[in-house]
Amino acid sequence: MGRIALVPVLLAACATPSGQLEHVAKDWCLTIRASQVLPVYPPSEDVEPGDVFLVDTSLADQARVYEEKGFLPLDQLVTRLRGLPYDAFYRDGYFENPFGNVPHERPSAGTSPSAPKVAFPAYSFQVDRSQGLKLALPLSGVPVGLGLLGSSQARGSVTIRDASTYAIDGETLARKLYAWWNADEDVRDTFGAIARDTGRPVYLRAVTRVFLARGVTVSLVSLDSAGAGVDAGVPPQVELQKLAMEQPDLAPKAAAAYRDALATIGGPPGGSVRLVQASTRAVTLDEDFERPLVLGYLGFDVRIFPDGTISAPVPSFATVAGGSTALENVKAMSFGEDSNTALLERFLEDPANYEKLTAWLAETGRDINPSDLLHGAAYSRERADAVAHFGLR
Amino acid sequence: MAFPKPIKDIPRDRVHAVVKTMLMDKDVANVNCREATDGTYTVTPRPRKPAST
Repeated sequence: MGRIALVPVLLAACATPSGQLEHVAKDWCLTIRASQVLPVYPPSEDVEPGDVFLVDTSLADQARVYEEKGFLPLDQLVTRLRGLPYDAFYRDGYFENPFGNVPHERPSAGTSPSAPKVAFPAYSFQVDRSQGLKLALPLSGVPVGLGLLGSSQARGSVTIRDASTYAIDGETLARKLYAWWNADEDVRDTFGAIARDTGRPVYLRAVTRVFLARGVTVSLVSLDSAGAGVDAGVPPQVELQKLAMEQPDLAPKAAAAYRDALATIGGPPGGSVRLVQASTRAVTLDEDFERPLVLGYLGFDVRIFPDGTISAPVPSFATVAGGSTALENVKAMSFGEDSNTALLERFLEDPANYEKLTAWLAETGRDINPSDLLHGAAYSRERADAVAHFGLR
Repeated sequence: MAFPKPIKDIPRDRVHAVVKTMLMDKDVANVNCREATDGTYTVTPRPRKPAST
């Protein structure tokens, strides 16, 4: 009987508007980003230093996507650079360490992680059932805690527990990346062709550092003036500690009621939710991940040029933080003209035609500046297209 | 629209044409021209500073 009574409480907690659901990824990622870490969404176990992703959003689009979604999609894993020298990297920098060559011992649920620790700040949020969560998080502990509180308004905080990090230095990884790139002509041809055919900048994003966590602690404090809890089955609204002191014989029953409620709610897939503390107006839950999950990363980007070469590394965070044009400036393109250049130069003598040419480039999905178009050795085909389009002769 | 890229290996008599086209971009404040040992030039556009608020 008691378990049935909990259902409406939970449904109310989970019945968020559709717009709210769309904010889950962004809210979570902005939360992680606030710690100067690029978020991995959804949090996943299988991201390591040395992973190289193909990213096909232009620099301007990256900033826009980051603003809209709050994270940079890691679209396609291209390769995993192996044999990273963790032992050399950590030799002088981290106590006694068991780091050898890859594969190092990954942090696991049953053992203390051997990776260096990292601390994240606690993040606060507020929930009102009539409006949904003001900070949406992909954590089971939040709706579970709300269900236990039986409250319509609550303030909460999330603490990322037992977080660790490990990394390889960017210089070593960049050398590995260039070695991989230069060793295989097929790789250069394939990605060079992608860069040419898409007509948009293409980047390789290499991960140098990852941040893992083994769990989170969710604390919720009810903001209701009078707590709920009149329904049968809602856990007893008593402070367990006080009860244990004053009425020790009742405390086990109260604790059992909470455990029953948690059992009814169930835990998240691949993890578990554990009650740490409960009182009339507050509840604290530990949510453990079955295995440590990567919440964020740091890395660098290299741009793939149509001629099959790649640029110098630029930190990913610098790319998204301020719309840096560093990537555009890291490599000069070769000068190369043909007869169409002269036609286009005459065309541009009328300033209005500069706007027309710019608009045409944008309409056709070409992320090319008119200056590059006219004088770049790699753009003879695009020049011919422009001359044909505008009927120049 | 993409910011203009630096262009290298420009013959001396074509530098003015490259500079002229680069400066048509309203985001380009000025350009740097550097002569290489082989007598060609590299022209690098410099962006405008964002307006202070």
